[in-house]
Amino acid sequence: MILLCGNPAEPPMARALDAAERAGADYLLFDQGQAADLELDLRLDAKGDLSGVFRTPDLDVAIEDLTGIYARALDGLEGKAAPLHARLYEMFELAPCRVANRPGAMMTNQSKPYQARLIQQQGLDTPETLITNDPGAVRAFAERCANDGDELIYKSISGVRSIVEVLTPTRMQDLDRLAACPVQFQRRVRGTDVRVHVIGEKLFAARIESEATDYRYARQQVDARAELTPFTLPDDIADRCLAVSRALDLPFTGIDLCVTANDEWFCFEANPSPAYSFFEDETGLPIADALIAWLRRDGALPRCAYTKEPAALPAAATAVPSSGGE
Amino acid sequence: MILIIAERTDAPALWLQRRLSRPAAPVPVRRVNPAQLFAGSSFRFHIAGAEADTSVALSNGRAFDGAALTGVINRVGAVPLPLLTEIGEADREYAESELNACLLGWLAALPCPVLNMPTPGCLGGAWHTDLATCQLAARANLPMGHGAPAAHFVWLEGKIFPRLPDTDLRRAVDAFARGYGGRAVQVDMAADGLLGATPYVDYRIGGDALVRHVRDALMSDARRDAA
Repeated sequence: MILLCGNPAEPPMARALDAAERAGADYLLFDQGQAADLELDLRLDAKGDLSGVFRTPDLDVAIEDLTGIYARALDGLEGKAAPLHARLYEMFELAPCRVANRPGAMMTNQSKPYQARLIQQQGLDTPETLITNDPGAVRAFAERCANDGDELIYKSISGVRSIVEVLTPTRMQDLDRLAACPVQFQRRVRGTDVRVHVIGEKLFAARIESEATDYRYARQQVDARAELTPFTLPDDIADRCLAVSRALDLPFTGIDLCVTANDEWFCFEANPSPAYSFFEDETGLPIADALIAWLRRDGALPRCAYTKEPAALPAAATAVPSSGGE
Repeated sequence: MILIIAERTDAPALWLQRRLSRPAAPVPVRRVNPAQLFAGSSFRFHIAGAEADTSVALSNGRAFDGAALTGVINRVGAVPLPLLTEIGEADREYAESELNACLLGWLAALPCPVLNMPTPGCLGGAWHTDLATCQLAARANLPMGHGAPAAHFVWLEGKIFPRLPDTDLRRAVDAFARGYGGRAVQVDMAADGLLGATPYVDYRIGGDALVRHVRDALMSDARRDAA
């Protein structure tokens, strides 16, 4: 039995549900709209092992019978449902089964510089970054980057979604507002964006071609949609992505990479709750099938986009500007 | 320099500052309020590859570089409220997230020993839900207690203050603290078992013996580098 927690109308959860149906998986959907009808009893035995019952009007599920949980965002569990939310958090954190992902591990994404340090320790470089409330420091950083022919971009320090933008001369005039709150500035990495979804030990990579600073907002920024295609990662980069997934304890993660024309690889971040449906729609990569198979502990995983073959980047892709997404 | 980041109302931190600052102290000890790091300051946190360097120039004219610190006592509990009151209501929640993320990333990147390193769940160190704390206790053979507080211990890198004889309780407290995470953990006990734990250690519990070990813990890495 696998447990799918989230809003069934939200695309990543809808995809997971479709995949569970296709696979004939034994699954239970917990929609936050059902919170009032849910009872959740959790117990620890003398050894500290968690057991309990997840009780809906239709079904009682023993937690120890679960092979996996997909814990997608749960909204609206406030007020009377807040205690339930706290118990779900504990269940996701401690359940003796596969969980995508445990809430404590998902928190690393709350601070990009904190997560970047952990990513660097796994051998993936991250862009040069300055976090400051000092306008003079930003100007000096911008000048140093400009001398190298690079621009500066700015984005949120936290996991709060922000649109990545270039620090233009016009925006430089606003730097005095930094005094209220530090901002994260990065040397802009020019190259091809690659999004990697890791599921357990499997990887699904997509190459993204877009002229936009932030490809998620390509229509808004350059009035053209981003083009996504399946991509085969070099072995060493694939290994580092797996290492990042393990180090962050995020068995299901969306890793944002960029490769430059000089074949230098950078990592922008690892998303703990990846909105993979967009990438699946655009590339046909069977990410939802792999997620369900992993949650079921199914040895017969679907075809995987990652094969240990030498990767070749199309020459046409090497001049695409990039600054990563979320 | 040993830097203590603590509010002026943080009695254990102020006590520790006085003890670490005794005339024979081998390094200077300074304290800053968390809000001082950003209010009217120049805060710079630069990351290039695996290297991170930081410098902070406070509004009172004092300044410090991350590389010059031998150790940090981190008592940051949350984003300081004074930093948020100046920000419009519409942006306050965002600013709080940003400041929290900044503090987390910066404290974790300091090149010196930090008591305690922040975690994403708690700026002051390790944090666990009640059930997770019970699980850690069960796995350490430390029963949960329900009575009145009876004893407090500070675990610091494998040593327990005040000293506990080599008993099952000592082994259980040690195993629990190791599982809890961080370099220093305060373990609160009732007569019948564990009441809870916190990374915000009250250093007064361990007295001067603990202060000596804190000093060693904050300087050991620097000494290793020098060697």
